[in-house]
Amino acid sequence: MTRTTQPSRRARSLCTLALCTLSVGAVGLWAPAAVAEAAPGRPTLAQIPIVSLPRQEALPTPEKIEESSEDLPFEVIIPEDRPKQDKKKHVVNSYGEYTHWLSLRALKSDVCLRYGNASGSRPQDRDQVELYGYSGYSYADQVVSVRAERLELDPSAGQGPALVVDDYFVAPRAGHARFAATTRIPLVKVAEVNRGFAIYAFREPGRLNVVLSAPGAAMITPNFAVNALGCGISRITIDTAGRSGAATSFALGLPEVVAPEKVQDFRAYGQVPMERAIRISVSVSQTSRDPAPVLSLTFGDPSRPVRDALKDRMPRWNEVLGQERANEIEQKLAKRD
Amino acid sequence: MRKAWCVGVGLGLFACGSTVTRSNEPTSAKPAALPAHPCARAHAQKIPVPFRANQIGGALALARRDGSTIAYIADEDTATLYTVDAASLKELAATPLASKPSQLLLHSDGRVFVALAGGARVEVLEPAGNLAAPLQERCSIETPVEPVALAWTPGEQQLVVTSGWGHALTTYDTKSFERGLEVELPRDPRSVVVSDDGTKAYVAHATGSQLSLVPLTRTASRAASLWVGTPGKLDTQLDGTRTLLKLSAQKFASQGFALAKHPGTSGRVLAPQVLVDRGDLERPTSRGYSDSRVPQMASVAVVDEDAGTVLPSSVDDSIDAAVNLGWGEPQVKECLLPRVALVDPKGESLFVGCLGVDQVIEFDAMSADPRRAEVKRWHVPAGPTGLALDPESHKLFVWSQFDRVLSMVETMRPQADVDDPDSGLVQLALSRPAGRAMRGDVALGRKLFHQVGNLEISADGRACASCHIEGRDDGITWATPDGPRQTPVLMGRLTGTAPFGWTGSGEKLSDHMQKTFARLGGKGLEQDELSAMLAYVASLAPPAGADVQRSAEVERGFQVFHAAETGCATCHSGDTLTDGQRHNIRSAAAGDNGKTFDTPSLLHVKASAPYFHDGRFQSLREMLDATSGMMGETAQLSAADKHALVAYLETL
Repeated sequence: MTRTTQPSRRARSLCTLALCTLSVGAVGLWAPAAVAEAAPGRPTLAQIPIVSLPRQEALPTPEKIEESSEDLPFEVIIPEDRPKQDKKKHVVNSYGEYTHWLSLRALKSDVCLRYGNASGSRPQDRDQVELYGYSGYSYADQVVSVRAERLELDPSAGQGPALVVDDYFVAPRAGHARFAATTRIPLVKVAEVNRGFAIYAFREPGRLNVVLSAPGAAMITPNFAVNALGCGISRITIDTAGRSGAATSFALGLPEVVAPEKVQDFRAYGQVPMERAIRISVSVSQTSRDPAPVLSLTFGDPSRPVRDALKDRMPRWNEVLGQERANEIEQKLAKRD
Repeated sequence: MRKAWCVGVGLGLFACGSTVTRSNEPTSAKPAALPAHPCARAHAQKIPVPFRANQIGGALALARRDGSTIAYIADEDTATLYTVDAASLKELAATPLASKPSQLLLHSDGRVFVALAGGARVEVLEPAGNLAAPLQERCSIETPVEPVALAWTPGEQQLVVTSGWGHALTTYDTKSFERGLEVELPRDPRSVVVSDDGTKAYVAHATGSQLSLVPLTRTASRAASLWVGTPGKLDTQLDGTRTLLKLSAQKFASQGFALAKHPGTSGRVLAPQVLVDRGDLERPTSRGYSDSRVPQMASVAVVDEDAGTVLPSSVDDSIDAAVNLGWGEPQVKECLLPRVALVDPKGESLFVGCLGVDQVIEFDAMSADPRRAEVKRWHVPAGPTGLALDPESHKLFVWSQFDRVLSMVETMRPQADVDDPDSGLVQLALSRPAGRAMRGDVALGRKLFHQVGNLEISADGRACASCHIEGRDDGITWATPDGPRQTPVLMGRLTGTAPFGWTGSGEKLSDHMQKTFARLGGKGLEQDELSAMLAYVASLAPPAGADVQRSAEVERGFQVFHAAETGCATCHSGDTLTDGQRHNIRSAAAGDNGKTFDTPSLLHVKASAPYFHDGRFQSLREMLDATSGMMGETAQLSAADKHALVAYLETL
């Protein structure tokens, strides 16, 4: 994206964050100014095109899946302690038995898995989802849909940034998974900070989706979940239908960038150091005079309890570097010791 | 129109029958032309003028002359207007004022209008060509009691004044200085802003969970009330065999002192405030006032200027996950006492000065919920009540009343750490005019009274001033361990009114205060701090001008009050209008754990609505109508006598 405008006052305020300091002279920080080149001022929702993201529940679900597709972006892991199929009649009480049927683990670090019916206790924006169900009831036999999301930012594709959403059907009992559909959602970059942390947006009817790209970060979501962003991206939705304003906020702990040669000094299972925590507010509002809803993104410093919570949930090196590289490092360290 | 009293000032002309009083003729400069009006400029020397048309008054304002920036400061402690060279932070002049100022407002011709909250008037001052000389008084304009805020209508056609104790908004023509509108407002009006088209004014209220919307186009107009608390939710509840629809989860707005207006085309008025969860009044709490995890939450209401509506997102009371994770930590750093607000000329940043935490916080002025959109904050000296921004240098000037210090922060300067955000602060402590200084113990007591996050006072971080706003009350009834209790007024009601508390459980004020701290989960103050706090609350007094001349109706009310048949004075006796005894007047409410209550003093009763220990009556008249036979006998009174009785009570 070509930047010809000076960073706005708001953009300069972003430079209170240490991570901004490297990028001021280069590309600037504040993509809203870039978005707003056509229309000076804050970006409005009108500048973010509405797209249609099919709902997972709306996909025509097959009754069963006979075999798995090739080239799945995740591996299917059947827990060792899962009840055998021939013992499915075993019911310990009238409510059945809560059973961990499957784990789905992304094969690439930049793929996020979403399972619409995942329980609230499990983080949704990560590289692994767990499928639970009640044995003795039919749930385990139902095919469910799982969504794999990834950002496509390669400019060589010539199509601009996009969120690529691949839907899959998964049969929990059989452990089979099958590709269902792909949707490519064009994104508008609404903010950018150096070293890969950027914020994109797309709209659905009545909803604004904010997509964060922050590999290796930890996050406190608007509903107080504190997670490592295993897959490096997160999507937050704001309901903008029928209201004159909506807002949400969350916090990110951004990782320290460590030179490759320095990585070896860390234990592979130690946590990635947090360089900086950011508090981010996203809001949409419209007064009588605003011709369209105004999008505001604000960056600030979070409080100490929030910073501490983020620090505690930074990912471990093996999660960031991959298990193979982590093992290498551990072996080297063992030899050195 | 209220009666305009005649006030003479110094040797000035005595303009009885109008609202303007002429003051001393200037001596330092020969007038270039005869002034058209006593309030007009009297000399043609070059004096500082504001950067741009100021629309809203404040305790601090900037002006410019020949490239130098001048700061004017209204210091309420010493009743002095200071002139400061803002670039060098050097004090240039001190102009004594007749009484405590609240706000000043610059006219584009350089005149300085100062609201004297302690004097029921606005003084018009003119700087001399020599800025080291005190300003010269041109005239003074009478206002209702306790003028607290000033604003211009577009083009400086009208001066708009709100009066706290006087519960009024008044306007004055800036050529004739004749009073135009006088609109009665709900209690505790504070800051005022005028819409871009000049057709309406928005007024903040320190209590009552509302903004007033005042049409400025008609005479004898009435204010409309705009709710700025959270919208109530209708919950279904079972009561025995019946299903009831009950309004619940409603939070009240409080601490509405400041207003700021977006300068751009978005038409937003921003109102920093606090959302209050008073608890379930029918269920006594285990301790404290309200059993909510977060009984008070900082908020900034966003008002659509044209539509006269509040953006619902801005009064959302959900806990901000990026602030406290929902664990309900003490709010040691939250802005629970916002006092001043400013939007930068580009309309991007809202700056809010917060007492108690002594910080200035920068929010995104265009956010749908600015309290979630914090950008930066700066520690400043105690008591930030004035803000002014130099739009060219991006320097923010902060007047801290409690420390009497003017400080300057570079808003563009990066901050190293949010927990140590005061680097780069440049300060000037103002001189202290002889005989006008505040006593040391009173000054310390004031700081303690407003401290947010002092765990000696409360476990949840709230300050004394959170409920006893300016030593008065918040008009809110709280759920307490003893049942529902309305916040009592402290100002002017503490001497000779023992015992203390609604049930009269505190024989000594100091014991009662420590008991209150303990109930709030606080550890209690050390003796010297407690003494300072007592000195401060004892020093609180109603504003000058609150004494009202006795009309015939008030005289009649006096007779009714003291008549044996009505029996009011049986319990409300003596100078402080209390017998210091507990009585059972069959006033116990659901949730009360006792039936006898201390006779409250009726001093300043007009300023303390609603009434009764649980705040069940919104007005004195409503109370008199409902309590005959329980508390005196008023059923036999004629409507005129009841009216007279209320009129008398309002003079107490």
